[in-house]
Amino acid sequence: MSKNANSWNESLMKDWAKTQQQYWETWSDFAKTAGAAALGGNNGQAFPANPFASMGQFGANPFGLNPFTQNPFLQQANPFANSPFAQFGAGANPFQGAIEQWWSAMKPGMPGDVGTVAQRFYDMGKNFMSMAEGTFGAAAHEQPDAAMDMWMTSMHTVLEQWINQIQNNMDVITPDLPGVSGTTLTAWAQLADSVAPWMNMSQHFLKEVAEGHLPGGIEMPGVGAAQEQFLRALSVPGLGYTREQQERLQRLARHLLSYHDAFRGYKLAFAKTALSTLDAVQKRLQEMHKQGNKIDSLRGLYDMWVDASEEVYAEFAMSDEYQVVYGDLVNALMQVRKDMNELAEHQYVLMNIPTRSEIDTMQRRQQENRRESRQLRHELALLRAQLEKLGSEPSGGAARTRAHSSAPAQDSLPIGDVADDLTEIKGIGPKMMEKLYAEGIKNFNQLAKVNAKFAEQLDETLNTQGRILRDDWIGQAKKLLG
Amino acid sequence: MIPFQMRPDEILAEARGFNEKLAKGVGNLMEVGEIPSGVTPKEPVYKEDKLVLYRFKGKKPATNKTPLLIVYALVNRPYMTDLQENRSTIQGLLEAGQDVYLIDWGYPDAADRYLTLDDYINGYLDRCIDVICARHDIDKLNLLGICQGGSFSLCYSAMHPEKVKNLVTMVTPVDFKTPDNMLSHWVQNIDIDLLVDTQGNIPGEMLNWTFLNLKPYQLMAQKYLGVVDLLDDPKALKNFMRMEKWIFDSPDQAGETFRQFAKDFFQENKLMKGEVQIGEYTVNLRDIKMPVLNVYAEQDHLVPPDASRAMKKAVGSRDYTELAFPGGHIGIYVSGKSQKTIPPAIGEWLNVR
Repeated sequence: MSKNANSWNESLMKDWAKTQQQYWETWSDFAKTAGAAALGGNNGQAFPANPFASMGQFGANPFGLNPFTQNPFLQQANPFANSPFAQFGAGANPFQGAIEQWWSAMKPGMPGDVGTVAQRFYDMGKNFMSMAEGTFGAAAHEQPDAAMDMWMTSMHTVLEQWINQIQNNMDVITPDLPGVSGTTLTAWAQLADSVAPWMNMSQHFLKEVAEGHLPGGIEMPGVGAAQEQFLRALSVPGLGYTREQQERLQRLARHLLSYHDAFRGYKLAFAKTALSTLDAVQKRLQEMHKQGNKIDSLRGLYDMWVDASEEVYAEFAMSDEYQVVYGDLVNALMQVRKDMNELAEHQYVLMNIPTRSEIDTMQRRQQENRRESRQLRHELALLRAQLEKLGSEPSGGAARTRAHSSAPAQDSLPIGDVADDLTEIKGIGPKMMEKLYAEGIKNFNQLAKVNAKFAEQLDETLNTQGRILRDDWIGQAKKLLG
Repeated sequence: MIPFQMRPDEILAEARGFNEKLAKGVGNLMEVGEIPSGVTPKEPVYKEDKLVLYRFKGKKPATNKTPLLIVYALVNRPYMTDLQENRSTIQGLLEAGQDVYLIDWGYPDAADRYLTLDDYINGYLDRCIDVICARHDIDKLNLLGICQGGSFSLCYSAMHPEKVKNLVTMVTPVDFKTPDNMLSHWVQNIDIDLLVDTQGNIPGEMLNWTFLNLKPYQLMAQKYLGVVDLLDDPKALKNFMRMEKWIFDSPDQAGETFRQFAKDFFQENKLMKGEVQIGEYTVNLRDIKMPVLNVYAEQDHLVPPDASRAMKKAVGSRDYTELAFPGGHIGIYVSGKSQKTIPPAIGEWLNVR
């Protein structure tokens, strides 16, 4: 780094704040446009007001929530340290909270495709800017190299703390890594929400239990003890005529706890991977340093970070551990949802409302009927076509309509050991040829001699559903014999 | 020490540049307008339940008298093959003289939960093939299966070889348990019965989440950073949005079909073992004797090349050809490079057979 590096001053800081302000205004303007479009051009007034409006020109640092931007050097020089928002306490930045809230309220108003994509831009931008802030803080320091090291170390510390929190069931937020964030965890939470919308509620309940607050105002000291006690309570057999419902509730509660554990296991595995990623990034940076290469843009740093993340993640995703935590997570979620379904179902029965399982039964039967009727209709159409074709052929028509005659089926066919390739006949595939062989029909000569009644019998034995006659296997065999 | 060597004012300038591009461009998202699902003119020729069979209209009549039916996967939507002008596999095939049909499976809802593989393959697909054969007064047609649709086409060709003249498969998994198959690795510990019994149909969102998680940092974050540079170019932005629309357009999966596909194909690898049971048939890939062209992508993160190349030893065909494309699972349909090579190669292969 050059002598310019110590140019940390008031004006740079202001410029930085302006850049941030500009960033959030971008989103504010976008959302206004989106809102207006969604409402047919009434300026989007029905949408939540811009949260920046009341925050003055230089609001609090919107990236404050991100533990990685808690760069000690930045903190030191941060003019916002004495901002009115400081009273909300460290980490609880009202600015970011407002943005998130306002964004989630805005999003449903946007057309489907745009909303989803805009969300990605929003997430990506937030990460990119947070990385920019971290590096800016370091670069602006008097000893930028040391500051970068410190920045990395502080991320390390935050991740270790996070892991510790997860292990002790005390984690609250998912920290972001520059450029990549806890994307997968956030995405899972969104998915779980969409599959089981009541999960948020139950998570609160579980947290209470995990922290030692048992239902009914019982306080248990020690996390593990409370959970154990609760689990024991859930295993007490239900009594009386409400027994079944009681058991259903107990089962649900047990499975909610299992889900909570599974999610914790998944998060823990991810947190450890995040730590490995950070190590990988540091290793890459040191490697570059040794070889005299350097990164000279934010974009370069971001890309390198993504690269390293993807590499570490791919290894993790192919591990046995991942297979287990991932499967456990999905299975635990499904188990909870299944219990919820059963509870709901029971209520529906009491209210005399049709249930999902009744509808399932009907749908299954209906599908079976449809399958059969489609097949029959299809065959009928083919037979009709065949009949029409026969009607237009004066000779042969009569012969074949005799197929349903009462003449006896022949009891012998010409003996022949020569095996022909019967698949030359249209409608006979290798499998059918095998079946015919098994019935003793091995060559064209034998097939050509099959009479109508025997053909009917064969049709039934081979389950060819009329194809023997329809495709005229016998006629084809005769032709092939010349 | 860290070799990140930027001055604060440079960082500031880059962050500001990023902002300005985003500010100017993000509003353009609202201007993109309607994105069509496919660009080549087509007409529906057969409908059943939610399925529509389309025939595409080429600029000149097809030279190959045997029609080509494209069987797409149930996951995601078939307009991937016809995303935009000059990036359309369909157009490439039409130009190569093929008479192209395509099955659009539609969006299953709860009432379709009990659709089985038998319904899809021996029902829907078989009837579509009959319809096409009747229209052209032929006994056999050419089949082109894509991804899961390729697996379906393999099953169909093994069960009904008398109706398939030539078989083309693209990015099609055959061996579901190669060591580099991430998707398969994840599925092994999932209780599929619990999943289907509880959910009924499998939500498209769930599959989408799974696919994005194969490369989460690139697909959910980095990609969008790259696009910030394109935001002020309406044409480039629209093309980007076509792909985005496709990615997030994931139909739910009919429960019973998903159950069998996930268990028999992914978990137990029965297609390789010749043990897949569909309706009254046991699928033995050895029964596939017609010419086979297997097209795979060398950088496919969904269907690893080895998963696809296993076809060579599994099928009974003596006329088996492989075509490798230097790209990914999606790139094989939409990249400019593939546009110039893949459809013409398929057309040529079909025309001489």
